[in-house]
Amino acid sequence: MNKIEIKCTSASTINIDNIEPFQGTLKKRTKEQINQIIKSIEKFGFSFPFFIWKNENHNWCLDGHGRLLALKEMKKQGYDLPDFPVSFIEAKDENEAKQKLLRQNSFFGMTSIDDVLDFCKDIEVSEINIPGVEFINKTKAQLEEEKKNEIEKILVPYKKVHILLSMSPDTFIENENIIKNISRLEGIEYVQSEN
Amino acid sequence: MSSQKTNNSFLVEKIALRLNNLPEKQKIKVLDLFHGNGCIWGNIKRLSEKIIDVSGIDIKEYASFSLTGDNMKVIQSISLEPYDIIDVDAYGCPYEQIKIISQKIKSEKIIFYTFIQSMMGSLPFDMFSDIGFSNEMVKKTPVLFSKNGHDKFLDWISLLGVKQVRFINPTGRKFYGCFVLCPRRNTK
Repeated sequence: MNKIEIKCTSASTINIDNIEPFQGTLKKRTKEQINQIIKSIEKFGFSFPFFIWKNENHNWCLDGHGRLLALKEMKKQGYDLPDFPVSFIEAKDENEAKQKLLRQNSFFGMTSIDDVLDFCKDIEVSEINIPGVEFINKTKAQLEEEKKNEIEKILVPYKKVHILLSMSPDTFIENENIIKNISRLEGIEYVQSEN
Repeated sequence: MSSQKTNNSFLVEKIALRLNNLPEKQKIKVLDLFHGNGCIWGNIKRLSEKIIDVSGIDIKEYASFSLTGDNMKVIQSISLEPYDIIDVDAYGCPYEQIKIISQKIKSEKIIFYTFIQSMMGSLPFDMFSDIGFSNEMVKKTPVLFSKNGHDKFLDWISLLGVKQVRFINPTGRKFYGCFVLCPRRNTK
């Protein structure tokens, strides 16, 4: 049976069946996003404790909803799930627990896309999803392959004289042979438009 | 690929073109005239071993930009000499920007450009004029002049002394390219 590596420690551990989601519909996740979390857990192990607000007999999840869904999916896939490290967060009531959950999801500080990409220099970025940041998950060698699509063109200084002949259709038909003869002359490029 | 979509189409192709055509030197300074959210050069910095310093300009305020404003006004008012690369990832024809750059530079620059011809096909009259088509000719036969816009753009940049251009054409109307622009010997 596949096992999940626990890569963090805390004073308490809980079975995920005893953790209840608290955020309702605040954050939605697609199947693809859950799969990204699963891949991340497979690659790096379970790396951060759940944040839990213990109220009466409930263990409400304040942080880790995505991992909770991913772990439940992994259980279905046959993974052996141990108890997971949790940190207990204090809140006097549901209102304060919601405030703390929102603060946990808040972004205090300025991070630009440049900064994020700079921080990620030389690291592999699959399964990372930061809003607004489009990571190119290709190696330099793969991007060098794109060179085969480049068209190389040698330019010579443009030296042409343009003459516009504008005439009615009847005049054109009358002079068609003369125009054809001119267009066949060496050095002449002839383009015809009908408007 | 884990990614959040931005307004950058053909991002991989644009990044590859730039990565594959960087100058030889190790430290590179870039002036990015349509910086947007900085995704293009941010990814290049991430993937390249070179030290790349990017100054970005965009009309719209982004978290990652360096300077908000009309790039035309900015390039007219600043010295372009510190930069090795000027990136003109425009939404149409980058004629105006490249014309100003060509008049100002005193040393060789690598220009990366995006050329997109709109469905209506209108290109700058001044560019046509530079390659010998009068306004009257263009107005009289707009269909004729809506064809091969990128070829006409290349005809025009040849007049700036550009000897070679490398480009990709992932869709009919979009061209992403680069060339070396040298300072003009005779300016009018």
